[in-house]
Amino acid sequence: MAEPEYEDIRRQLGSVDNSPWTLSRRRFIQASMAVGGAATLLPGWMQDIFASATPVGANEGILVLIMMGGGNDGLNMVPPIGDNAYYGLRPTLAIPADKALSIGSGKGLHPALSTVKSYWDLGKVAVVQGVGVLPTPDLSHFTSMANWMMGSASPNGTGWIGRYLDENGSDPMKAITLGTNVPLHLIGNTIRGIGLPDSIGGALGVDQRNEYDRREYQCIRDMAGGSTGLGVFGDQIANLGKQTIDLGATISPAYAATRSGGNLARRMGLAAQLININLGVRVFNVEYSGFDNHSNQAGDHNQRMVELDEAVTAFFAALAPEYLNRVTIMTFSEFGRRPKANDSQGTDHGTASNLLIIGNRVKGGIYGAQPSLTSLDNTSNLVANTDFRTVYSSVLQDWMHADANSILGADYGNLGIFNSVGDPAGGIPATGNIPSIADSGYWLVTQSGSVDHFGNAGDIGTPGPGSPVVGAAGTPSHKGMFIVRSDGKVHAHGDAVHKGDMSGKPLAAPMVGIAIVPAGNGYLLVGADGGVFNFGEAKFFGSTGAMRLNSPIVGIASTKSGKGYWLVAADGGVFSFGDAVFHGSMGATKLNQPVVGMARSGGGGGYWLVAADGGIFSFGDAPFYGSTGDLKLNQPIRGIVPSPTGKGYMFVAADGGVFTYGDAKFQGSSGGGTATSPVVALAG
Amino acid sequence: MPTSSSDVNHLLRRAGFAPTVAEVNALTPLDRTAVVNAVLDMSTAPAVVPPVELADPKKGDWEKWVATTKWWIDRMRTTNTPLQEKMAIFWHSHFATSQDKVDDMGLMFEQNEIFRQQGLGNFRDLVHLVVIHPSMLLFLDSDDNKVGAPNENLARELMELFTLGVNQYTQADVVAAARAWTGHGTVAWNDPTYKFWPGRHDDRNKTIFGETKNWDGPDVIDGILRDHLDKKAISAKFIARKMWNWFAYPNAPQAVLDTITAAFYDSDLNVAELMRAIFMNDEFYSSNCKHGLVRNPIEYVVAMLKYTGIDAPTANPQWWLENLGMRPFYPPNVAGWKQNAYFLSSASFWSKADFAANIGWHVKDQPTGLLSNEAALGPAAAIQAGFDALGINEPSIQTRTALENWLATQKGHAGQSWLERGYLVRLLLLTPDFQLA
Repeated sequence: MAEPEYEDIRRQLGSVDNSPWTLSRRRFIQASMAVGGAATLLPGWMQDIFASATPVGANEGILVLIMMGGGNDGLNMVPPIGDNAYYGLRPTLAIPADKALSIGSGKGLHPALSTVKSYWDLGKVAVVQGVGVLPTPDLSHFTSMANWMMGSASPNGTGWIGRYLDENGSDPMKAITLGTNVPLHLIGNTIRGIGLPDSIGGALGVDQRNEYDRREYQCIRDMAGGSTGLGVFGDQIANLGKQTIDLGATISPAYAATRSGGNLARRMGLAAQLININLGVRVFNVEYSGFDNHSNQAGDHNQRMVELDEAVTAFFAALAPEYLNRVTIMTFSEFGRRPKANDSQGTDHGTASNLLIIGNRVKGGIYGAQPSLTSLDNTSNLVANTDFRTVYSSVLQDWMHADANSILGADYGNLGIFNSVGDPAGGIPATGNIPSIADSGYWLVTQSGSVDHFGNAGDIGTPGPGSPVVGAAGTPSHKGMFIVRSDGKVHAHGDAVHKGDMSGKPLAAPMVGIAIVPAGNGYLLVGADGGVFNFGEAKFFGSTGAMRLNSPIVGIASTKSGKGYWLVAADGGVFSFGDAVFHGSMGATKLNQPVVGMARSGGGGGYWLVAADGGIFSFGDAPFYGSTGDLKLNQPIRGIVPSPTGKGYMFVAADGGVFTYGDAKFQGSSGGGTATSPVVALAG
Repeated sequence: MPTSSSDVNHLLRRAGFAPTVAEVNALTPLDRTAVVNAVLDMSTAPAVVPPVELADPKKGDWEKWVATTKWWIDRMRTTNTPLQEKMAIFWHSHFATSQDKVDDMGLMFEQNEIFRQQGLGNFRDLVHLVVIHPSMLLFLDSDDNKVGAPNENLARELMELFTLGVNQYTQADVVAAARAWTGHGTVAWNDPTYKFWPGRHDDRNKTIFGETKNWDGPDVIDGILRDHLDKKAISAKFIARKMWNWFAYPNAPQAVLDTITAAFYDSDLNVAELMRAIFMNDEFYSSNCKHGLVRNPIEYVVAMLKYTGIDAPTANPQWWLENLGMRPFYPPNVAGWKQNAYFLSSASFWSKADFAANIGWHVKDQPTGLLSNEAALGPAAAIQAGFDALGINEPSIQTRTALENWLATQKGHAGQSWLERGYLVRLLLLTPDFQLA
């Protein structure tokens, strides 16, 4: 529940008020005059930040912190399975010895940590035990997390990573937190790290193609630089705008890669992608909450461990091989939990805990020692034997090659966790799942016939003026597309081959869509009345042309065999022909917004329907990968296409915004309403 | 003596959200005492009609949250007693309770109403109402707090976060207070009505703050806020400081804190008197104060919608508030939201830019209203009109220059005149001037 963050903490813990206002003192002070001096609001974060990023040097390590907010139960993450006292204190909550993943010495890993265990077996995981704040603090989330964040012999409201930044150049890009708010440990005296969002599509500064957007960005840049005359925060906001625009252009490639899994896995995957584009980031902070398990802990904590393991897996899966030896993951939390379970099947706030350090240059093993479970302190908690700053000191010295004593304010020793030299052969392997940014692409087509191309979709020309464009379909090679206009005219671009069209012929209703048959040697056109027209090798299997429809047809999709097709109407009704199997429809459901498009699933045994508000309806074997149902939409969705693998899909909105799901890759958009004519089709 | 428009504008921004020129001009003839009286006058507060979705069994939690969020944003946008809503935001952050765990928007709304109706009343009464409400009992595990099996969550946060602050109590106080709170729960998992369970209550003596007696949970509140004058004084100071930080700027001079603390304490913890002391204090009108706060995301959104005349159902603020860093009814943790730099990140700036662009599009499509005559104005006049319309009464020269240069260049591209109005609105919303509180 808690990731106490920085500003209150700066105030409350930077100077804990030990002189409580009292009755007698009040009378005294009322008679006295003001204590002079303006408040110092914030330190000087005002430099015109964001110099261009400097890549990480060949021998520089990258630290990835997983911040477990709320107080992670270290005792169940690394259960002391050889200690009967553990089972005595937690009759129902303890991890059974036969379920734990044994790491020897009477210790185990939580059963969900199978990937971590496999890295342990490779000798790449350090378990540090008995880590805590000394002397024992007051068990508050606040105080404890602030102590961890500040990491200093004399806490002064700055964070340990922030002070590392202070001492190592002036580039805030060296530390990134994934989340909206920058936490205290990334804030130094003069530098603070940068907070990045989970997604960035269409963000300010990312789309640089239109001159009027570039002018807008320049205007925001011009608000910064000098003094706004609006105080520290005014200057800071102005500089933030400039920084954000510059940042958008720099980091957008990292966001193009697909990420999957839960929130933590997605964030860890993003961290890996940001490492891959080598912006010079030395420290990532990845936030992860939900550890404050006062009640019904077993299920909740198990889920956290599942997510942790998934995230470690996702991180190394997304990391480019050249960085495998350059990264170290470290977990931390404000405190562990009380050894004895409470009667709510949970645990109350504790003290010392275990943390994990994972990486190819880590010397695997157990560091520190599990504090006694029988000699507890006066709050019935563990007595820490390893100061958390000793862990920081070890990481700063041996991994970051920084002056730990200066950053921490004292010499806290060194646990010797890292093999800083030598060949780490036999370490965590490259999994070969390195997403390539340029392996897919798509075209956006506007009503007036202009075409924008993205990713590896090439410039294959535009159809020029004519009746309104209503649809487009990419060829199987992804090197060409057909475009259809309302009057039935079809244009073939790239490697698409024209096989005829309806231009000049009388139409009962305007054309609304086109589908290519899987072999690529023919296509189907469909009109609003459900009339179907086949060209090339595409076959006719029937139409709704003679049926009385409740609402117009808006799309068509061919079956995988090419021996059938589905039509979809605006009210969500689906009509199947040939070998197309009906898997369900929205025809009987009242929809908030009309259906605007349809796509066949990768497996071929189902389909997706998409509505104008970005709602997605999946049928048959078509998985649900997400929808824009809870996103802002500037303009209605106009179409859907599956990703090349069929394991994802993307939508386009009328303003050119592109939304990708599953393994569909975002390659850019015309978002922001920049086109003079609405985008009507997406083809890839 | 009249009050300067600068001071009135500042007060109405802080005690409310987004004063218009007319609202400012109506108060400038009055002296500060009368202006503050007007701000504190809740007699014309609009009646509260809960969002109908809350009572609709067919609506799910998400829909209820969306409806309640829109409802609250629109109430903030349209109320003539905005301080009532500002207090509700403050107390929502102070008594941070999340729907994430409470899982009942009806309870969350009831709590919101306590914040609204009691937010300017007696603080001790407020604490009683909030802590004994099922939303808080569920949020802080009081249902699980039973004799022989105490759960410390509620007892600790009552002291640390709600009344006293860190280091003003001992762990032994927490343990004893947890025992005092045993038995205060709800009827059943599917009936979240408050119920005191005598059989679950620890009926023995406990020692809290050095006083040994058979404490009951609510006694702990009275112990802190009424009976133990040293604790009451500490609490008065804790709340006064936090209130000043929230409404004025962080880290006030000690003398200012002492003055407002005294007013709060001497009124037996009347919040309205604390607010009066804050708003009457000269330091509140200092340049430090006028530039000392960033609009938090809720305030930013309400100001944006009030000035542009776009209502919440149209703007769908629920799409953006989380990424802006402040999702109503979902505070990030038990300590609530922070302030200022907490809300300044690239991630939040992008979200502001997205929302501002969306609002710009809405404005562009309105035949009348905000900046509808923009095309007919020269750059300097158009920018001034924008400042006037968005409550930016003392703009930064740097901001003005940047906007005028942009608009002059943009007006040189006649074919793009369609975008001027919408882009001007979004740029105004992204100025540091507008983002400051």
